[in-house]
Amino acid sequence: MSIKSDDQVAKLTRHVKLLEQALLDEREAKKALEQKLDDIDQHKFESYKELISALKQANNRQIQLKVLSTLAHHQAVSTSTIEMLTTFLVETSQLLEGAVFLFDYKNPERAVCYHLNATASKLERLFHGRIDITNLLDDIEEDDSHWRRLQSSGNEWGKITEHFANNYLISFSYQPLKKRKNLVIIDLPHYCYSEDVKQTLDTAAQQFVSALQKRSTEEKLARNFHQLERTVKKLKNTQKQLVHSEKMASIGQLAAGIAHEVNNPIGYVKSNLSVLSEYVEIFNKALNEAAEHIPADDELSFAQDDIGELMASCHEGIERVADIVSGLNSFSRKDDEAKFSAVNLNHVAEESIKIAWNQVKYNSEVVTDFDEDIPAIDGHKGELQQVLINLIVNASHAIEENGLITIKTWSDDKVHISVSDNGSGMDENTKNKLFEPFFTTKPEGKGTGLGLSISYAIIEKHSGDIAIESTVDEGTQFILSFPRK
Amino acid sequence: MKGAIFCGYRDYVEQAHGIVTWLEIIDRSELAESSSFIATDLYEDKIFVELLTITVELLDVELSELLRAFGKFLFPTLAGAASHHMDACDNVFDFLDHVENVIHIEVKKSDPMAYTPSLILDKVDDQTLLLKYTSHRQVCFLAEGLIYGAANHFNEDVAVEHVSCTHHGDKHCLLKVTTK
Repeated sequence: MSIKSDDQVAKLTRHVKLLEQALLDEREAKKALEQKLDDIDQHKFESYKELISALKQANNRQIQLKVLSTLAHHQAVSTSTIEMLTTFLVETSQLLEGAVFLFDYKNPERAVCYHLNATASKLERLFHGRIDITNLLDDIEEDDSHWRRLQSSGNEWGKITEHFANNYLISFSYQPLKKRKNLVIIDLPHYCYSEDVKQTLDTAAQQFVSALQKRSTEEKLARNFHQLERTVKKLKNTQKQLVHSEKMASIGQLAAGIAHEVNNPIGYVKSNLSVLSEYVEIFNKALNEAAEHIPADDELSFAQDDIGELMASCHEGIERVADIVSGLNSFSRKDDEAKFSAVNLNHVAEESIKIAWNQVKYNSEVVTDFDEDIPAIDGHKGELQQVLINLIVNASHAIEENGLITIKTWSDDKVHISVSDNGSGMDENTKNKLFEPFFTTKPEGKGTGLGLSISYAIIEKHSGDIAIESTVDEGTQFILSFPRK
Repeated sequence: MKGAIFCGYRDYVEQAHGIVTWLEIIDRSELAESSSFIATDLYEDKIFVELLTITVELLDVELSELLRAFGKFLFPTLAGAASHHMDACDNVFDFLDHVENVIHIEVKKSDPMAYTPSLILDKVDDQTLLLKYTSHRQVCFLAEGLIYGAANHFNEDVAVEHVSCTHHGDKHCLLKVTTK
């Protein structure tokens, strides 16, 4: 039995050995086949290699382009630079899965710090006050709009350090405005990013900086443009004013010449008329005494009756001419500053209202809005009253009924008084000619057209300005401005 | 996963624990269809995970110990296949810098369109290396084993720490390799 079993064991052992050998042979054969397959694969792979790497590159480029184009799109549609910045930071933070810190500063000792979580979409102030980031900046290489790895060189960064969770930091700084700087720090779980991601990050940052610069150039250009517009407007106004004052000066000279020339003849016509009146009386007396000896004559008696009236009318006429000449004189006379003293425009206005009241009370109500604290101006009270009365009466003439005349005073670097009405208003043509002597909108014989030109001369004499705001059918406002005393 | 890894694992188990252990593992496996794997074919990762799990149970060893041992065993095989890459390296960090070219080419050879994970590293300092392994396959443990194998090859002693891992719900695996 044992011999037999020994034989069996030997036989079985032999079988196992042979089987093991067979297994080994099979394995060797399989290995050889696999090697052959592998060689074929290798060969195949070699021919595909370039294609595969091109495909991989294309895929990476596509991702890169997607990020960049999303950013570019946001930069184009963002209405403000802060919106642009937020989008850039959110995209970057999502790409890198890191928390973003933004430091905004002019002076590194007083920087404002903002924080953006990987999941948030809005920047939030991190500290209540400002923080000192001088030490932090010392560890950052000069800004050239590239992301850089940030490591402490042993400097204490201050209380910001406790907000960095991972200590794998990258920084990026740029200058959004001339005197301001921004520093972006991203707190990352690691630095393991592919070259593509790093490149995308850098390109995105540069794209962001140039978009920002472009935007701020645009904003600067827009500001300059507005300033230019304002300057042009101011120049136009000044030119208009210059032309106007030149015109008024020429008219003033002309008026002075006429007044001077007319004054003489008026003088003797006026005195001659007085003498003539006396003569007429003597003639009348003589005629009455000698009436019996003179044959009845209708024409003579008519002339005798009419002459008195004619004389009175001549007197009236010459008085009117004299008035006009005197008006022209006050328009052209500019050198009469001797009687100037401190005048309060509120008092001038109150008295002017009293005097004008009789003329305006029928169709208008007068409202006052005085600043009781306006400073005094240097001027001639009577003349200023003349101006205001003229403006108030003119206002009431522009009103048919239920008028409202508002007189307001206020002051800034100058002292102002305005007279506004809710009357018929004026068109451009009227406004342009308003201050010319003899220009009037009133019916013939109702106004001389000298009121406003004299007022103008008076205001000029007071070194003041006069501005008019007027809209047809809505009303007119005259604003007089005088230098403080 | 490349069949060569399975073949390597079989060789390792047979050499360290005998052919019967290997056959026992295959017998217990529900996913493996045969005890023989073709080196040039690609197999599902989960099969390998299952084989490892069974081995850990059967032999009552720590997974990390098993991987370390397997990595040491497998590394020369892989290194032999990619000797032109190996010649440029004289330490484990340098090798890890090239490893992507080695592993991925092996996979791509079998299927040019096969998905390959990305392996990105960052040398934190002379002693520390961070390795980010992004993959929808969960074979970071193999990477861990191979790092041990590589260290062994270069006569270095390293510690590999899983800082984050897809097995714990993280987006990617982050391996921290520290030389001692």
